[in-house]
Amino acid sequence: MSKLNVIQRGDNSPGWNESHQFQSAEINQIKIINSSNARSLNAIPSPLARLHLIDAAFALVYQDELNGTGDAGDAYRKLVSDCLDVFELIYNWNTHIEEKAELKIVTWNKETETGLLKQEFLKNKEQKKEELRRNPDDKQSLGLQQIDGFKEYLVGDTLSLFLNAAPFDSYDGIHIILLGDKPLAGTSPLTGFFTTPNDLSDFSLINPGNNQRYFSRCIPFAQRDKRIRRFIYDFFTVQGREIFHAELPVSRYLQHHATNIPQIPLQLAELSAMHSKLFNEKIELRANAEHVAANLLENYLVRISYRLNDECFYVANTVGKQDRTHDYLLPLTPKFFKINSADQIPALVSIIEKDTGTVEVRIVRNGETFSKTYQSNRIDNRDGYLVDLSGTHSIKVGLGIFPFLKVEDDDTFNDFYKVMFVGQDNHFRLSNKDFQLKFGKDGKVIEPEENTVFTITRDERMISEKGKTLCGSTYYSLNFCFDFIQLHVPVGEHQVRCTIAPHWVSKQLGANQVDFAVDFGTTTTFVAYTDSKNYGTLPKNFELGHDEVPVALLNKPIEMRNGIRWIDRYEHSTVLPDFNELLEIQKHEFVPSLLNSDKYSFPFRTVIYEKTSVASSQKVTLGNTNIAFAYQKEFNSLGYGQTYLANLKWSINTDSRYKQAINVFIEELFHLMRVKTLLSDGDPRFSKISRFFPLSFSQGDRHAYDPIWTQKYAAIFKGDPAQLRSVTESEAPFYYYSKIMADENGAVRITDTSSVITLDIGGGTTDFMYFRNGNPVIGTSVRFGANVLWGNGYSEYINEKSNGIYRALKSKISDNLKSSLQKTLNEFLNKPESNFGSDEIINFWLSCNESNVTDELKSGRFRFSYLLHLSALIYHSCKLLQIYKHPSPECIIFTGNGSKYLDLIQTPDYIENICGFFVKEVFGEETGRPQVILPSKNRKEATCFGGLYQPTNTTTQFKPVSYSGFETETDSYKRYAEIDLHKMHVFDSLGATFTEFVECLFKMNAFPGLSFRANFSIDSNLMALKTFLLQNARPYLSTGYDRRRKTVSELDEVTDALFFYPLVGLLYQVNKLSESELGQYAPKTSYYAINPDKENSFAGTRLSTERKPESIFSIRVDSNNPDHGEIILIGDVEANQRAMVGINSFLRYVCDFNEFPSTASPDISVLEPGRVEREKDTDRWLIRTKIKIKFMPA
Amino acid sequence: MARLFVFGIGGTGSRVLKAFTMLLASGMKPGHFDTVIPILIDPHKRLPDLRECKKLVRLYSKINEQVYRETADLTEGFFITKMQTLKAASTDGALRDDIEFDEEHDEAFGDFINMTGIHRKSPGTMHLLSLLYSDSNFRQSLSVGFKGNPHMGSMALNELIGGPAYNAFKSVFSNGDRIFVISSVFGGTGAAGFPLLLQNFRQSDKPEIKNSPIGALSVMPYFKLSEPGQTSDIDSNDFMTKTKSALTYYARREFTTLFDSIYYIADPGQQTDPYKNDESRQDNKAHLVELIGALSIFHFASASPTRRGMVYEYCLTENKKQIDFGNVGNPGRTMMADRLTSLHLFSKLHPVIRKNAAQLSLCKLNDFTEAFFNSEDFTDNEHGLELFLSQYHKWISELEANQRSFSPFDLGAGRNFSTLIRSGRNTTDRHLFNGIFKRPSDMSDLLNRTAMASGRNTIKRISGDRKLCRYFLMCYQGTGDFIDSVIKKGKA
Repeated sequence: MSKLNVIQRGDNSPGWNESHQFQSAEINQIKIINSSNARSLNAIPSPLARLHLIDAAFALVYQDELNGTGDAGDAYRKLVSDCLDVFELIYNWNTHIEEKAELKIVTWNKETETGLLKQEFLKNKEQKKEELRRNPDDKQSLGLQQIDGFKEYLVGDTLSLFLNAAPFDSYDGIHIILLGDKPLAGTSPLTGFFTTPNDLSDFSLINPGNNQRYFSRCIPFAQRDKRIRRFIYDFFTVQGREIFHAELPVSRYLQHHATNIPQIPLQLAELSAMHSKLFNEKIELRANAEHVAANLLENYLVRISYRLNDECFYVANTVGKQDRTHDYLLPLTPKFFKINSADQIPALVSIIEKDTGTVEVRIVRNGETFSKTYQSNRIDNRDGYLVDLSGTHSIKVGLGIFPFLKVEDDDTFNDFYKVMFVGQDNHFRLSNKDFQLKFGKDGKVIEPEENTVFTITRDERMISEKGKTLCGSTYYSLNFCFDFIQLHVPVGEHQVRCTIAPHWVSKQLGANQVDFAVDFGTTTTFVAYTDSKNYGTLPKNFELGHDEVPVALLNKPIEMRNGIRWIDRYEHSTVLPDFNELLEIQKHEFVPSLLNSDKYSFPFRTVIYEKTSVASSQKVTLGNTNIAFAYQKEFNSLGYGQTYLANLKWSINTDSRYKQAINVFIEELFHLMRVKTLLSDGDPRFSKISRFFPLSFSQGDRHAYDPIWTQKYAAIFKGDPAQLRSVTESEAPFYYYSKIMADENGAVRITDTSSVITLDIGGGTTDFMYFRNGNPVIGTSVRFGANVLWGNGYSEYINEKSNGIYRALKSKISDNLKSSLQKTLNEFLNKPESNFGSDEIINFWLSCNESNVTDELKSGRFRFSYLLHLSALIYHSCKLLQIYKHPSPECIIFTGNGSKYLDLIQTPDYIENICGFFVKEVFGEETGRPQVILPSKNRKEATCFGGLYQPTNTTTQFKPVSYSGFETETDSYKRYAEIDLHKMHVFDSLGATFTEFVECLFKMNAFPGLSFRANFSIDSNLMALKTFLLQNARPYLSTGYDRRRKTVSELDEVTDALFFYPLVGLLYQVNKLSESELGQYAPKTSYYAINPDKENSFAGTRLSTERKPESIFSIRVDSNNPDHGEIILIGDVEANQRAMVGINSFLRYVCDFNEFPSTASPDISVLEPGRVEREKDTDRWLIRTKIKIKFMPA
Repeated sequence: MARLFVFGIGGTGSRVLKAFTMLLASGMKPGHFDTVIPILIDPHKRLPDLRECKKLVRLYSKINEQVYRETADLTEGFFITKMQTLKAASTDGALRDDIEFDEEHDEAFGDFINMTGIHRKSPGTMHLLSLLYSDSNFRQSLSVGFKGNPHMGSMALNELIGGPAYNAFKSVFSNGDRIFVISSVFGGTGAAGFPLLLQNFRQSDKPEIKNSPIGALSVMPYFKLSEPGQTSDIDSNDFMTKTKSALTYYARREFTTLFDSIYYIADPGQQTDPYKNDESRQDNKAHLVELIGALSIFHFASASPTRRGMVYEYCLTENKKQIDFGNVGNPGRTMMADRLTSLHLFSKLHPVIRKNAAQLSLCKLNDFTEAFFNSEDFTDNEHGLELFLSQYHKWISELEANQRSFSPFDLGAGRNFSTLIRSGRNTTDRHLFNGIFKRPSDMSDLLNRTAMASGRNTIKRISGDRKLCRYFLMCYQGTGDFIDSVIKKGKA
């Protein structure tokens, strides 16, 4: 007998005989040759085939497991596995939601949705029917396909048809699980869920339970985690008891495994933010609320080649060699931080080094241990990867955080954080964009693109290529204090993730008031502060010392020991021997680890370091632009794409680039000051901040600066705006010197405060302030700072290096510099392509403070220029007092960094003498010599300190005045327009004033103890110098005035003294003149002669100093060289005629000529003068070179 | 006037219906049903199976009409059961096709269901559909069947429901009628259409349909295809996988309550030479399984279903490669052996009669002239008997030539009939053909028997102007007498 059937079964009587429906056991016996083809699974003749198919799969797999057979085929086993994976996905639901997976469950209601599909068609059909009714003759039939909406209707109708049949008819719909917009599973009353027929093998989510992608493997029920088994079993047999009857394959399947369901209570919670009541709301989906190792531990453990800075970061308790030089970045997930605080890390997390290449990470929490093993050659899929980042992969990473401070009780001050990230790849693969930092707070990673109150911006700054090494820096700006940083590094095919948890310096807002004074200068900037109530103690230099470290670096600093400075803990070459780039980047682009006298101390240069490709408006403080603390202190090899920007102060209105740089500079200063305040137990809102401005600031300058200061103050200190005060630069020192007795810098107290001048000499300007009886009365500012000496006159190029002093000393000083760092910096600054002018370089020389450098600058050749500079300032100051009818000064205070050149002139007592000389010259003999206060160093301090001491109860009384140097009561000019109108008159008057000054200056030479040669070693030809000054003043006055007029409008008030305009050009020229050039200006004596006594000489006795009517020759003698002279023919007609008479008798002995004259009385033209020399013994002038002449027709 | 509606779905539906038509032509009767209305459902319109089947049904129908018009009293004979097209049965003149349901679809499945429209009207449904159908399903064209994807078919074929053909069926169907559905479980179309039809019948708003007895033949794998090349989506390796899942579906309690009787048939493993795998042609030879499958229709038509969910299977007496009346199984032989032999003899007899019409007395007696035989009734290229007989011959030859061959007759036999019938030798059932003729016989015996039959009253009663009917009946009775007297051992 043989059944015509797929299997032999049942009654074997021949013919058509009654049998029974196929049982799954029988179906299972149907042999399948090859069932790998997934298409073959579409065989169920229902739109709901997929649901039945999964059901069938359970039946077949159940049979196999029951009988120990393997007949079901891989395709069916995979279906069962995928279905069970959906349950795992539900179980891990909340974990995925935390990871931002776009998982959701949507409801598809049978009635509603099919209704929507049918609606249009049904309406159109009725219309069509109606038409047919009205035209009964029309033989047309109702062609449904032709009615609009038929297709959708068909789908709706078919779905209804099948969903209204058992077993679906009792459910009102299907719930669909979506990942993004992709449906991946739906609910099924047959098997709980059914999966999509589309390929799920590249499904992106990782099952945290096994670290595998969901749906990627076929995992039998029995091999699933005990919790998952319990979860699935409960779903069907407890919650789903009424839905999944015992006869269903899935029920049988689970019943078969019932003995293997562990009795463990599951901690479940609602699904995050999701409607999760299924099957007519009979089952509420719940997800795991327990923590599993996979939730807490990442799949990667990153090994780095340095030790972690455990002073600033939480580190795990690492069990390994104590003297190891490596460490591990934490493999902790955001979830970890959700349930633990970062400070628990050392207690909870252990990293245990096992064999080479095997490390275990263990979290012991409430007696429960979560552990994960990481291996460099991973064998078991459940293990993680041990990634030796610096070793195997040659990738180095490091970071720094500024400020490293968290205010615990007032979050408004936790609004500014900068994270510097440096990544380096020695195999030229990864650049800045490949590294990512993410920031976490409250157990959640804050995504920058999410619209929250938290903002994170990222600036890629530097990238350098050196051989095969790519190294770059990236900066993150955050407005919130974060709990952890997640570092993402692509390593080969792996997206490695690890975590860094800062151990913030935690502060409460204190009650202290910390006040600051900021002197934002042309060349340098200085900040002073006081935290003493009522200013009972001396103000202090701003410092952030070793117990106030503003920056936290991820790498561990070296131990403090004898013989090193605190800064060396962070910057020593042994700190990161194979990753020095990080430290270099920190110094130049970020904030140094310490700001104290070790290295980076105030005052420091007013210079910004910035990325060149950034538009002005895009400058970000510590993102792409920063204060160049290391400028001229450390060599910079960071490479292209970045530049220094100096000369900020006076350029605020020239170019938005400068304005934005100033903005950054001030912002960074404010943040440093805020850190200081907080660390000093202060409340920034109490802080008073004094800022200084020079008198010579124009209205426009003030208007440009004011909003920057006020905005920064408001945003960063958040105090009452009235606490931000403006003080004039030259006013401030007075308050300081009138309070102290003496300070360690050699400053002394003002002995008589009845009439005091302060001269604040800066790089660009010198500010003058006069105090009468302790009160400021008048002040002025001139654009005549020290850089006039070091710069390039009226050159318009900032990088010009034609300065005479610079040219003369460039090579010598380069040789004299001692330290190799200074040498390197000097070389760098001097490169022809460098952006630095001579003023910048000489200021650098001065800052080196090396005696053999300053000795060169003290050379007598240059001293005249220093003296001239000082004299002009004093003279002008005295004239100013005089014009405003003030008594002579009893005290003159010099401050400002630019006043350093005074030290190059002579010792302070000479300076006092010089000042005394001019006071007497201007005010008369009877006046006493004023006291001069000239501290030996830190002349900027006085400004800042004074700023802190400015009396707060008095409003400033002084009036800014301008005095150009020549005005009288009747002849004064307020606006440039007025000067323009009377320019010649003004220039003439100024010329007269200038001549007066020059006469006065040279008079000093004769004054006892002030001899230029004897006391100041000035050995130049003084007479020539004087002539030079007098002769060239006028052209420079014109140039200076024209330059000024380019920057001011005709209606602007005159704020700048015109007196100094000639000096700017002259001072430049003075140091450039060669001896012979100067010689041109030496005074000459002329002698006149009628004819030679002998063929080749004139007797000295026959020469006259007056020209006589019969004189033919003129001999001019340089007063410096009285025995040599120049001889010419006197060039008038009469003299010519007389000379022609003696053409043969004497003219030919004295003159050279090629042709005799063609006419009797020609013009004689002197082509070249002749030279004569006096024979001292005989007092005869011998002709050494004849005069070259030519006869011209008259 | 009870009618049997036979739905043939897909290629298998056509092929079984073809065998069914042959059996009807032989005079086998589907129980008390005097009319069969075949309805073919196959969106794969160019398939030769479908075209041939349609032609054959039309041919049969025409012959039946020509022969038995105006003779309602006849109950036996070749082509005796009326085969009516749906169009003929219905009053809807606009029906496009007489047998077949509706038009062809060339578009992709996704376009067919108008994904864009669905997305607009109910985005959620699009989500659901992409859980039910794969992306490649949506891209697949409907023009070549459903390529073994019955779940697509179930959606596409539902278009028919509510279409004019289905409406015609609905309006024609009346109390006492029955439905039989032929489909395969391993293909696309048939597998899809069957449950769909069932669901529709059982959810019909017409109680006659809703409560009608429904039989179904589910044909499971009985052939295999050559390995699929680059061009074919059909892989016979999957047939069994599909069968398994389809059976699981059919075995569900919910499903078994939808039908009255289901007939399962398959013949896996017997075929060793694969059929040529050409989706567009499916040019397969007629097969025993199709014939046995056709028998199930008669079985269902004769039975009175007592409960829902009856399952039937067919058993051969021997598992041999060559099947004949001896081992096909007695009930099967009983059902068809007489009549099929009769038809076979008719196919041999007719050419002889026609050739010798001038000499044969039975022709002279009945005025079966040369002109009679030259008439359209015999020679017409579309509805002549001779066309049918040649179709029959082709069919029976294919059955023999196929693997798991059915060869009840010695097709090489000439006028000598001694070895005409093949049968097992060991059977003791005297009603059965045993292959041993009582005595040697040949065509002349058959001619004699036919001549004798022509003298019978039953034949004479038929009026002279209905010569065709008389001829058919004469041959029917002649062949029948021949079988009873010469081939069978004896009559019960």
